[in-house]
Amino acid sequence: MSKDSIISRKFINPFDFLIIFLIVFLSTILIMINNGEPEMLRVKDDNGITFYSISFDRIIIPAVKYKEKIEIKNKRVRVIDSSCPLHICEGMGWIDQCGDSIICVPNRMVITLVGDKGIDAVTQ
Amino acid sequence: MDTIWEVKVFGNTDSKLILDDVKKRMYELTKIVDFSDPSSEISILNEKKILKSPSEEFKAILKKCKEYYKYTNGFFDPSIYPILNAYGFYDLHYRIPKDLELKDIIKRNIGFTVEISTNAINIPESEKLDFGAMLKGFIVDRIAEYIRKRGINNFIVNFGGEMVVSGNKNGIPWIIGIRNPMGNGLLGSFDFQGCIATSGDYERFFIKNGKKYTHIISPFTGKVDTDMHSASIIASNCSDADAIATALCVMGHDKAVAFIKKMNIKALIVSGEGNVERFNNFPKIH
Repeated sequence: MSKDSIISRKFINPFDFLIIFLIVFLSTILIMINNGEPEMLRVKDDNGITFYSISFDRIIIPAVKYKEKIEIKNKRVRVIDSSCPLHICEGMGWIDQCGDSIICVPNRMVITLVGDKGIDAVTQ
Repeated sequence: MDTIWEVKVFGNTDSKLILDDVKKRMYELTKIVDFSDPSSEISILNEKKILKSPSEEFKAILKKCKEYYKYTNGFFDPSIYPILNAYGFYDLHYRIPKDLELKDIIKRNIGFTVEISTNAINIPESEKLDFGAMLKGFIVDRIAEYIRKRGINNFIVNFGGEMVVSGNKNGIPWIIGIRNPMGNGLLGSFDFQGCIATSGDYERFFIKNGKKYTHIISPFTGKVDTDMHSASIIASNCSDADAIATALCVMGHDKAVAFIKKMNIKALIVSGEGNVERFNNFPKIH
């Protein structure tokens, strides 16, 4: 058996094709789910889940252990002035796409930009 | 009626069967008030000024209109048809009527007058009616009542943004968004159960010479002179919420705020300047 055929069998066998197919398929599904303009900010913390509109600029101060601010500006979101010990959430900067998240572990908080899927109906 | 309706039902129910029945009921109700159908009850009344053997639903609509006209001191006015017609809101040939034409229409309008008896409805010769300002709410109430009678308690009936929200989703509240009247997207959202309606300056309008002319027109001046973007109202039924929301927009900001306070109305309004104001425990939006 030549060296080439060993490498070929090692890296590209039918099972590898299946894995590649699954990765591509799942990535496509995830992109489709998260596609579209973000409409709302979903904040999950120990108090539960709250949705905020991102249609207008403002600062939100969630009721969490380590005080921090969530800034909404031009449909983008970031964490500022965090008093949490790690400051990783601040370092993540702006998020602006559906599905983008910022996680603050010390505050057990996850903020995610979502489409209008969280809303059951709209009065207009 | 050129709008979208949706019914959401939560739980173990035969949703297809319910949806088919709801569709049938919805068409029955809208047929009564279809302007484009010359055989509808509203078309006959507007044309002949008398409607013999009216349906109970049509009588109920007119009775409610009389109540709202009185309650809002004429700011909810179903006899506004000739003014809206002068702006081209029915044939969609939009134009700005001359002051003299508007004055003439207002002079001839004696205010909403209707006689309802068991076998007939009469309106004055000069009058033409349009009660679109409460109609969606009225239909939503009727559909919600119909669904409840089938033993279903967790649902949303939404007709063009006027809605009855009942129960929840297995203990999780329904989340309702309020449209941002100044652009795309939402003003915010909140957990909700009850009846809510919104009226705003983005619903029917045209732009001429750089100015926006909305269908929210004062029946007293014939002009678009409101300084409100939108009003969202929570009431005990959707018909009330719908009529009040429209009347508040017609009133303009200061009169609307005074009226809300006087009548203790649960309201969220967006002023012409874009300020969002909540009254009488209207839920906080996020």
